[in-house]
Amino acid sequence: MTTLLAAGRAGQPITDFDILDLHGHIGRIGFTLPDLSIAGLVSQMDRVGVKSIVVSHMHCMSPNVVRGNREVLAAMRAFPGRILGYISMWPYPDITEETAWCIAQGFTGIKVHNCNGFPIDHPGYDGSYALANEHRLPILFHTWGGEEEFKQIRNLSARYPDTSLLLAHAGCANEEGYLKIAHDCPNVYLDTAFSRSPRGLFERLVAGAGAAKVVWGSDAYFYSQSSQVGKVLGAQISDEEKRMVLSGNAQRIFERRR
Amino acid sequence: MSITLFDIQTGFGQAPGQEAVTADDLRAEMHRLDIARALACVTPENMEFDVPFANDMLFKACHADSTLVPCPIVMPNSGQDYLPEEAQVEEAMRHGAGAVFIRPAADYWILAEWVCDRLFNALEARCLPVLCLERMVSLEQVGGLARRYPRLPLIVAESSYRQQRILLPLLETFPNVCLSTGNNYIVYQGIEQLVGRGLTERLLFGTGFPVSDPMGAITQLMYAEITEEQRQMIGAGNMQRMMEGIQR
Repeated sequence: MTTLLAAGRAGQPITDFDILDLHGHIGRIGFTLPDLSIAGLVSQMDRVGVKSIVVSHMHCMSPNVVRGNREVLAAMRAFPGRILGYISMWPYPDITEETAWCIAQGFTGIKVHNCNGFPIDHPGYDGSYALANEHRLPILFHTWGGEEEFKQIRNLSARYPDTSLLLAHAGCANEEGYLKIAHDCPNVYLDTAFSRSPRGLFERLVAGAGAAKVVWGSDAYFYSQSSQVGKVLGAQISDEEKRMVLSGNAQRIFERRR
Repeated sequence: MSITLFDIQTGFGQAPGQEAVTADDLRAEMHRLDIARALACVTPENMEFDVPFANDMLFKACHADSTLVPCPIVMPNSGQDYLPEEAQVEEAMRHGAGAVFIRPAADYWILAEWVCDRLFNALEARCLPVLCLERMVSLEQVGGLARRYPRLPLIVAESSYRQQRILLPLLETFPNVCLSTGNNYIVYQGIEQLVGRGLTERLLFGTGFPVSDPMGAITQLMYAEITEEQRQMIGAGNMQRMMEGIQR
């Protein structure tokens, strides 16, 4: 067994480098989440060895994004350095001022979910994307492999080249489409969060896009973080590649911020 | 403390459009991840519609050693085209089955008493556990079976991470229902909640291989905030105890 596989099999926290989780949530959702506390999330992070998680509120999927952003800010302040924040978006009323305010409060990036019925390249997001570009922030998009989504992301990638565009749930459908856009767009990264974890998908993303273009996101606490880390720890790739996915790539994205 | 794992949600077979996963592939993956034993099914159900053939293949694959425990398919002989129910149960016992697998829709039957009562009576008489994948047997149907056959162990597997609001009362209401922690049961703090409710003995480690990567299920159990004794029970002890309860 490789070192990281053995640690995961034994349930030992990963301590020799900082795991950074680029896809998290806090807040209530329709189905049962047994522990909604931020302390509980940090406790799970400690057990796995996750240093930081970037969270948006579940209200990234509702019009109540401002309320969600305030709860994320409270969590950031309660656990500095452990809980980082994504600003949730809604195109009406103008979200630009809210984005600027959140950036000033120390949020790490932006989260855009298209279940709200608005395309991710909606003009209402332009001001926020421009701010993200100016500050070189990551933007995490909920994606589900649609060609229209990829078209919009290609457009955004060209318009905002200083952002890092993270495509959540990469490979959930249209695996080839994800690999192609990661190859074509230098600022596009593939996020690994996917409930079903199809056998071999993670390895194919790394082989197809390169380990430098894949970032780890757990989607906790929508999904179990301790489950989502397994697909990386157990993958049939080198430990060095696992470190890049779990830590190094995210570190590089964070270091670009200004 | 090293935790022994007995995977109760796995199998091998030929999925459409994919390379076949053989019993040896399953064994190799178990070896790679240090999984000691597995309750194996032939999968997927849409490619294995010939039940006696599929079971024969399963029994042969599991015969080689004790790492794979067969979980053969059973069904009512209500169309008078297969072995009588009691004979199916005897065949499963003869081959050392650790459970049996039901696939009502795939095998064109329903869970109405007047279709399958004889089958479930035969299984209950031997306390032979029944594997119920949620996409084939709904949680409501599992509750109905658990009520009708209270001595029959029922194993729910492939349950969704969105079902905790149903799973918790299902497990608390019916002591003969167990839950696989394998994919797609990726409930954040789900194992911890069920253990906290005193349901440790009703949780069985499973992975979901070959459809899913098995390591997520392993880390979910291994990183869970429970005692090592509880982890060992879920990892393998509960399934071993359930198998010891089969009236062979």
